[in-house]
Amino acid sequence: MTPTRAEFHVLLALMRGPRHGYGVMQDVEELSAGQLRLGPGTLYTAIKRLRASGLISECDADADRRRCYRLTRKGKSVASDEAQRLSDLVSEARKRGLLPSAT
Amino acid sequence: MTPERLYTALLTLYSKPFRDEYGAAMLDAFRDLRASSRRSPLALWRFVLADIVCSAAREQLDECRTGSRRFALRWLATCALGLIVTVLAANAVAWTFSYFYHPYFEGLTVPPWGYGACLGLVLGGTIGIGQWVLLPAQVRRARQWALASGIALPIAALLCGAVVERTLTGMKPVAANPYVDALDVLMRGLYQPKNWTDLAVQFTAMAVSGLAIGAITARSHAEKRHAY
Repeated sequence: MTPTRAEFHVLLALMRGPRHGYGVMQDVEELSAGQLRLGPGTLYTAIKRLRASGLISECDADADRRRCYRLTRKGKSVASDEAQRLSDLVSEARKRGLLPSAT
Repeated sequence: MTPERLYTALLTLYSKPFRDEYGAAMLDAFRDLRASSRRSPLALWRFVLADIVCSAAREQLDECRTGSRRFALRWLATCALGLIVTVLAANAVAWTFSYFYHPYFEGLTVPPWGYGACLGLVLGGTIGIGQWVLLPAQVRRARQWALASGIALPIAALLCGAVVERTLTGMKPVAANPYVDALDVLMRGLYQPKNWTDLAVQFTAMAVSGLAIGAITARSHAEKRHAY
């Protein structure tokens, strides 16, 4: 499964540990430097698909009794594959002069 | 209306299973978003509305592809298939008869029960075949078939109820341009039957013949299921 942009960001946010919905929204905004802001609708439709694919699972409710989610082993693997794919793409863009050389 | 209430009302754009599963969590997230937002209320609502409309559309599409709505759409497709094939068949027969007009046919009439039964056989058969192809084996076909026919039957009767009878009883030499005549025959399909008795007889005949086909397909399906 290739995650969408929003799904990949949710997976990245959950790499830091279990989060509830609003926590994920804040993390995504932070790690994308404000470039991507997920609303509750986009977030929970992504969560539904990620749960259905077995990439995340629900964990025990937090102190506020909010549902929280964590990454599964499969989710980590898919996130890692996607990160590798993006990294390869960036390398290729560098080779073709789209980006300045890393050195 | 409070913002929470408005947001709850907007959640009805999502499918019910999705709302039941995530509606409360989404409302919590919306409350947090609102409490911590540094944007103006107008900007916040613009963001929230865009988010809801886009994600609800996507979620509804997902539901159509994978959820219970997939079954509902396929089931409706069998109704539509039965309806379309029946109307086309009735009009094709009527047009062919009218086109190959011969004085020998003058005064030939078809009783309402006769063409009702024919239409019922076509309708029932098409819906039966459609369900055989489109619906999963676990579905109780006899019941689903009866519902599908119940929807398609009155529409089919309305669209092609009088076409055969009017074509046969009101037969006249084909017009110089056969396409004009064909159009005329097609238009006649939209007419109502002549009286209520005709309509009742035609409906009954369609229902009986259609149900017979449905019973046959359901029965043969049940036998096949036992065989596995």
